[in-house]
Formats: sequence, C-alpha cells, structure tokens
Amino acid sequence: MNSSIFNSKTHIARFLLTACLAGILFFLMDRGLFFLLREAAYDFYSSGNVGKDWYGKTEVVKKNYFNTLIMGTSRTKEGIHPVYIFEKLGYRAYNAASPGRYPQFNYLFYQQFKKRNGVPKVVILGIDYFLFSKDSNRRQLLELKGDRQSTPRRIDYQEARNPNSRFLSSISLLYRTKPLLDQYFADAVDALAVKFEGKGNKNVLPAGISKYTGLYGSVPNHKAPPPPHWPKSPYTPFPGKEGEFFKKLLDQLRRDRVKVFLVGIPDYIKVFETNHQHRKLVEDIERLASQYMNVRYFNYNTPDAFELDNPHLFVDGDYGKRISHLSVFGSKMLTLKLCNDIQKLFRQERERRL
Amino acid sequence: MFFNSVTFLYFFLLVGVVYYATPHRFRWVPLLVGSYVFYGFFDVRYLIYLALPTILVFLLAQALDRTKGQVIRKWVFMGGIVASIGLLFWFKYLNLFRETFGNLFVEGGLKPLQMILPIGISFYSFKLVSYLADVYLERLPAERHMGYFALYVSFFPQLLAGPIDRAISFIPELKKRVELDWDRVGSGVQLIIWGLFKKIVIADRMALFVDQVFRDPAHYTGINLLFGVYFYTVQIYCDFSGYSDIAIGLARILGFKSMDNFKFPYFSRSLTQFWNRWHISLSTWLRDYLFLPISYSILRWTKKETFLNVKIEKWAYAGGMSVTMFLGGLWHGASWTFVGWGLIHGFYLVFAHFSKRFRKRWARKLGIKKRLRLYAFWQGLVTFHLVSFAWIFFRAPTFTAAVEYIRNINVGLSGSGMVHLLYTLLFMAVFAILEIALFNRGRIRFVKRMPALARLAAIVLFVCLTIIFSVDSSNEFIYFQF
Repeated sequence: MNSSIFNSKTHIARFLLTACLAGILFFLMDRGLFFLLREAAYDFYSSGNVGKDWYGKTEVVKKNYFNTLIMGTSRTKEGIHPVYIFEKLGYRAYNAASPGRYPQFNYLFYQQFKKRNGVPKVVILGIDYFLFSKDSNRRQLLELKGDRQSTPRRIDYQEARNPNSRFLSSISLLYRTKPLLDQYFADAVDALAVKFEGKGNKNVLPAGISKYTGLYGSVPNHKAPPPPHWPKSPYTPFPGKEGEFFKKLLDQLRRDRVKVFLVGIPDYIKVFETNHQHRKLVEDIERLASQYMNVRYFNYNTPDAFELDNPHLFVDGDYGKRISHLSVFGSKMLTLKLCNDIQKLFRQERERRL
Repeated sequence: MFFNSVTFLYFFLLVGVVYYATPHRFRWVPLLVGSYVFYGFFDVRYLIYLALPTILVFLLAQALDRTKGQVIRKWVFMGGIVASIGLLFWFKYLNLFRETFGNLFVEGGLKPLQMILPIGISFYSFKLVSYLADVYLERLPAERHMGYFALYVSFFPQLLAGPIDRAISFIPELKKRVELDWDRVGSGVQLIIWGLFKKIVIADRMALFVDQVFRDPAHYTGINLLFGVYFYTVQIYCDFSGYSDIAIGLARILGFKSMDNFKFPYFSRSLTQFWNRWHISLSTWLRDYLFLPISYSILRWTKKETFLNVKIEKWAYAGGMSVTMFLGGLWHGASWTFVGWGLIHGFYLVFAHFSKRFRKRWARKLGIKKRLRLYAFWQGLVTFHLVSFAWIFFRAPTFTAAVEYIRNINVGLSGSGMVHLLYTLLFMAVFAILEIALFNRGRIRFVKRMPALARLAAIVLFVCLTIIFSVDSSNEFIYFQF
C-alpha cells in the first residue's frame, strides 16, 4: 500500500484510540439514552394519559404490567370487561380471549404471555358448554407457534426494526427503535395538546386497560314463542378434544402460583335450554377445580346467578343455537358480579388467615 | 443518494479509501469517477448535460487563451456564456416564459413542455460561467488538464447545491498534494455532524409546522402564521447551511479547502451585511459577474455626474442592484415569486444605500449610537424581520397566496395548535442558543479548556441526540430544487 496513506505510527495509534473511545462512548450513551426514554415512554403510556383512540398503544408497556390475564373464546372476549376489573379490583387485565381459542391455544398463549409480560397474579378462564368439543383454530395456533400472535407489545429493542438501515439498526438502539420513540414524542405532544387545549378525544380510559370492543344491541326476536321442537346440544365431557391442555394449563398455573378463576359465561335462556346438559359441565369443572388450591369456579350460567332471560343483556342466541354472547350491559353486569365474588373470596381468605 | 442517506455514507467511505490509496498524480481519477457516479445515481441522463458543457467550456477556454484578437475572443466568450446559460435557460426557465407568454398573448395559454431538470444545473452552470469569465478577463489562465477541470465542475460535495467555488482558488486546491491528516478528518467529521443536525433535526422539524401553515393558511390563527414565518426563516437557513457544512466537511476530509457559504447571516445588522454572510458563494458571484459589470457599464455610458439631483454612482448602484437581484431571484427558481423575493431584497438594498446618510443623521440626533449594544440589537432585530418578511414570497406558491398569508398574520392567541407551536419553538430556541454559542466560541473559554475526552463525549452525545430528535422524512434539501 502507498506509504503516503499513513503519516506515522503515532497518528494511526491516536486515530485508533479515538475511534475505540468514541465507539465505547457511543455504545454507552446510545444504550443509556434508549433505556431512559423507554422508561419515560412506559410511564407515559401507563399513566392513563392516552385516550380511547390509542388502544394499540396501551399495550406498549413494560414487563409485569398486566397482572391479570383473561382467556377464552369470543363469549369471554365480549363477556368480561377489563375496565370494570380495573375499577373494582384495581387489576390491570389483558383480555386475550377471541373466537377459536380453546385450551390448546390458551396453554400455548400463556407461555408466550409469561415470557413477554411476566407471570400474572390472576388468570380468568371463560368456561363454555363446548369447551372440550372443539379444536383450537389451526391458523391461530400456527401463528402463535411462529410467534406472530399479538400479545402485549412492548417497546422492546429485540422486536423493533428501523426499515431505513439494517446496518445502523444493528449498532444503535436509538436508531433501531426510532419509529417507536418518534411515536412516543408525538403522542406526548398530542396528550399535552389535549390537556391544555381541550382538543381530541377526552374519553380517557383508566390506566392499563387493554382492548375491549363491546357489543351493542339485544337479542333479536326475543318475544317469539319457542318452536315445538329444536335440536338439543349434547355435552362433550372432559377430556374431549383439548381437555389435556386444560389440565396442563391448570398445572402450570399452580406451579406459577397464579390465582385462577374459572368463570361460567352466561348463555341467553334459549341457548341455555338448547345446551341442556349443563350439570355434566358443572360437575367436570368442579371436579377439576377441586384438585387445585389456587382455582375457584364461579358459574354464572344459571338462572339463579344471572338474568339469562333478559334479552338486553345479550346480543344473540336462539333455540337450536349453541352460542350466545353478552352485550356491553350484560358484560358490565357479569364483570361486576365476578368482581364482587372475587372481593368476597379474598375477604374470606383474609379472615381465615387472621 | 442524498447526503443524509446511508447509501451516501457507503459511497463516500469507498471513494475516500480509494482516493487516499491512489498515488497523488492520479487522485483526480477516483474523485472524477465518483462524482459522475454520484450524479448518475439520480438520473443517468444528467451525465450528458454535465459532460457536454464541461467539454465545450474547456475547449472554449483553451481557444480564449490561444487567441489574441479581442473581437474573436469576445465572440468565443459570448458563445460560451450563451451555451452555459442557454442550457440553464432551456431546462429551467423555458416553461416559465412559455407559460407567461401564453397567459398574456395566447388564448388558452401554452401547454408546458415535458422535460427533466438536471439537479444542480444552476450551480455548475455558474461555475462554468465564472471560469470562462475569469479566463476571458485574463484573471486566470485556461486549465490545460481536462481531468482537473472536469473535477472542478463536477466535484460531488459541491455538485448539487454549491458552494459555487471559483476556479481560480479551487483548481489549485484540487491539484495540491494532500496527506491524510486525522485532525483535518476529525474537523471535517464534526462539520458534517453539525450540518446533519441542522438539516435533519432543525430544518426538517421546522418543515413539519411550516408545510402545514403554508398549505392552508386560512385554517390557522394569526400567531401560527407569524411563527410559520419565523420557523421558515430558520428552516431555510438550517437546510441550506446544513448542506453547505456537509459539503465543506466532505471536501475537508478529502483535503480541500472550500469557501465558506454562510457566516451567521441572521446576526447581521444590515441587509448589506446579510448579503455578505448569506450564500456567500452566490452573492459574491452575483457581485463580481453581474452587479459590478452592470454598474460600471451604467457609469461608462452616462456622461452626466448627477441625475435628478442624485449622483450617478447612486443610480448605477440602484440599476445594477435591481438587475442583479432580479436575476438572483430568478436563479432560485422558475417562478415569479422568487423574482418578487429578489426584487424585495433589491428594494431593501437600494433604499438602504440611498437613505444611509439620513439614517445616520437621525441616529446621531436621537443619541441611539450612545447605547451601542441596544442599537446593535435593534439593527439586528429589524434586519431579521425584513429578511423574514421577504421569505414569505420565497415560500408561498403564488403572489396571491403570499399576500393572503401576510394579511392573516397577527399576534392573536388561540387555544388551538399552541402546544405544537411551542414544541417546535423549543427546537428553534435550542438551535438559537447553539448558534449564539458558536458565534461567540472564541470567547467561551471553558470549551477551549475542555479535556479531549470530554470534548469527544460531548460530540458523541450530540450524535445520539441528533438520532433521537431527527425527523424521519423524505424532505430533500431545499436548495436542490434550484
């Protein structure tokens, strides 16, 4: 190589030393500033300063943020309202229930939730009549196994990617997470604008509330008389198709010392009469629950515990149909009942300990 | 491949390594090849519009050098000017004049021609013109080496938006023997970082606010429009001076001294001072190749000593300045709003020239000059506002839009948009503090006394903060449009 390139060994040494020092300083400052900003973003998003329009961003939180996990099918998704759990119990609940999510999915989902959010204090599992008669949705299972199902997203440098440059993303955390940090600054300024200018959506949710859609309306044709005959739905007893995963999940939750509430989600009366073998479901669940000290079963799917015949508490359901869903009002009633029962339970446990 | 892209970083590293690895005699080769590759990256067709006038002017300059006859020399010179300016006119101004002509004289107007505008043509055309003029006026001999001349015209740090360095100073720079000097490289890197900060943190941040208010001024209250002007004032300065800093920094890393293009223009106390500090390479070009020749021509043609009781020198100044600023405004873009902006500055400068004695007399009478600091501050404030006012015409899409914008400006506060305004103002304030610190850096002793490690840490912190607060946008440098 041409000797004109290098002035002297001293200069080269000085250059290398400066470059190394700059590299070390950059590494430290880049990481330090990133972690500071991330904590600031966590505090901002979890402080309740975000409005209803920012659903997605309330999930961008730190580890162990959600202390309650709700799992189940669409009946649980619409049936249990995280806002009331927060208001009554102060628990930050993540509602992961969705159509097609049966015990196998829930068991796998719980593993991922643990990894990303940390072990919750409480798990609420929705109990359906057809719990052991169906398979979890294949596509959702594949996505979960491929780690593409949405669990609470966090500002996590391991997951963030800046599409502009892979090279710079690999050396700088600030650069890699720039889109997330930009979003945080923009949201913070918008929140200030809402606070001082009164613009924007004022329907601020309490802190830590995850997505809840809510269904409006009431059961159609609820006044129609019952038909002379309609197909009754048999119950598939435990273990059925995915019962083993249900047991595995309960075992895991016991090991993790999580309080588990199995909640019988109410059916509209016409569906309740269609699903005529409730007693067997209740027996199965009670038997399973009795094997675990940390598990309690609250069954609201009875006319004594819930107004199954009130059409305004449901949005669907008819004779011959196996499924019905609670409306926003039904969900509120169910969730408040559940919270009351949980509070009563905790009070009794405290008194027993004393 | 703009300067603020990662692709340019890779490109420059490659060119830099090859450059320093090449023996001195042939170093112009990787730089010339790199410059053409850089330019061709935008559009391969641009290379023809760069190469052809370069070759033509090179040959014409050789002819000028060899020819003794004044008439022939004049024709050769005029031919070169026509070719260089003609190319610029064709690509940049033809549609403007066609449209104006069509609007005035042709029913239905004239359809604009579909043509590309080679990026940077305004800058390298001026380089060619200044070189040819200097050779014609025998200020410098024609360059014999085609490679160095082509490199002078196409030098990639300066190609897209200047500085418009003069051949008389820059070609010798290109030829001098350069050794790798790490201090110089470090200084160049610092300048590049500062330039990037000005562009991607300050200018692009201001642009977010400015674009909104200028797009739909009727939607905003007076104070938003007022600050829209201030923010644009800062935006255009940071955008352009940021680019210049990067260009000068790149040249410095390669061992070349490029002319300063900005010297804290917003601290000027008069419009004359402003134009001595703003886009210096262009303003000196306009002064040397337009203003002075025009003014001297007016003086030569006029036999009288006064006209309307005013000295002919003042009329020469006024005439020269008006034409210069008219053309200076037009150079910035093919739109009459740019001409309007230029003429406003022309008016300012002519008025200032004509009223100089009057203003001095009144300043003495009022005793203003006794309070020097206050007077200096007042001068600076007035100059800043005059410049900002003119920028409205520079930024607005049409005259009507500019007038409408001005009409709606007031200091009326409203609840709407204030938080975003204050957020943007925060960046402007931070920048102002840094600029003032830089302006007074000779007096800030603690910076000089800072240990090397602390200085390095400050630079690294600055880089991290630039990453955090940079605006992720596709805003290209404003002066690329010219």
